Amino acid sequence: MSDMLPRPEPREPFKRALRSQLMAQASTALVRRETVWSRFQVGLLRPAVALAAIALLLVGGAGKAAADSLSGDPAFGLKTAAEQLQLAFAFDDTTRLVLLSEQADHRLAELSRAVTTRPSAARSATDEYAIAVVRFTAAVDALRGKPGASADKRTAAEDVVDAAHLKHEAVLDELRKRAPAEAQDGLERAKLEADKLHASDRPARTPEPAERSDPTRSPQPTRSAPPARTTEPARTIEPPRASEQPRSDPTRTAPRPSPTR
Amino acid sequence: MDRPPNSHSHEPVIPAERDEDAVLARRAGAGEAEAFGALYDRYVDQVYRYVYYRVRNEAEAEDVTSDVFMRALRAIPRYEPRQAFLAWLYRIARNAVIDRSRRQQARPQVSFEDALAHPMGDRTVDPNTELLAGSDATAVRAALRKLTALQQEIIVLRYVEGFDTKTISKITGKRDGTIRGIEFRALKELRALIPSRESLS
Repeated sequence: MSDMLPRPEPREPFKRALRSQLMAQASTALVRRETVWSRFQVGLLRPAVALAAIALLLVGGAGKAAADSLSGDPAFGLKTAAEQLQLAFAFDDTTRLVLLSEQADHRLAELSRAVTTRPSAARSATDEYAIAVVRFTAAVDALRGKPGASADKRTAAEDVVDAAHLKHEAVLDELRKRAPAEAQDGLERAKLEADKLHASDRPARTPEPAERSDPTRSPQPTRSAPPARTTEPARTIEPPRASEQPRSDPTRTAPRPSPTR
Repeated sequence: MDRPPNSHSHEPVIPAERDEDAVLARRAGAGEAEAFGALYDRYVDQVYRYVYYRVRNEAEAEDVTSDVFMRALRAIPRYEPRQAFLAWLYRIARNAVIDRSRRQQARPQVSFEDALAHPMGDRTVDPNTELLAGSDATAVRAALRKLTALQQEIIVLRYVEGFDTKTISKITGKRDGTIRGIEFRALKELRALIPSRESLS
């Protein structure tokens, strides 16, 4: 045997122990890699596809037609789809709230146009407006109940919703004065929805003349600190989608430009 | 010497096993822990043996073997099935040994003599080569100690594990011809260093 090469073997206890250790690590290490990939897909690929879709929408010249569309028009779906894509890019709660506020503004402007130029579209425009308001207030409520949300974010949210409330009330009051009789019911419903925008228990701010005279301007957050609002939306026309819950990303706060405007 | 002289049951991996390896590796990379466990069961002995011949002792060999499989576990989602799994695994083992020796520069990297004295080393293989078969183990040990680390590595892979030069080429990252050249020079040195059986007797 002296002229043979030995073939050393590992000890059995060592092999068993190492195997157990590897299996314990594998259950987390291998899954973690999948999660990293999933995060990559969700975090980067999906928004990238969304960005490409927005670019196609704008480059394709459909943006203008979509922006001018009213509820019921073929291009209206395109407009709302673009808005959803914008929301998908809003990684910051405040940005998201501002976007939802802007969408409610758009629906209000469409309602105004429908009442004055196409009363037959007023009903569906009212429905769309109500949906936008519900989503907006639901996002505010979600942010308010979110553990770890900073006081600044909460304050900004309250300011956005307060400003929207004042503006929408003013616009709807003005519309009711000049709308035809057949549109009054729809406007009454819209007014009820707008009341849900009363964001806080603090005394309502007196609207500045500029705010009253410029209903298309989006509300901007200020730094005042209102108490937290406790009222929930009284009626839900369409439940807010899970994908619309505010997402937190403190690195991004600037609102994105709307391709539909 | 076209065929490895090792006639032990641990033959070089045959194509069917390579396919199985690839399937297991793909499943492991997709998160199936048991598939990785199967690969471990299949190759832990070979990896350990390779590592053992390149480090000082049993404890270190176990340490490095653990490191090798931990590295493999982390890397397996990136494993490319076109590459033979065992060659891929040996490369990880080789890198682990190199990293280990860098960390322990004060210590000799390879001690073939120690390897021959392994407590479990009584499980042996008959080398078919005239050179090794006709020599005393003590003389072989003494001669092998005088080879370079790469020469020793190639001798172990070739004559203990029974790999062909193509596989050794993949493991070491050297060209096939280079491996043959190193092996040829190593054997030539051994011939000069190791007395024949007749002279020993």
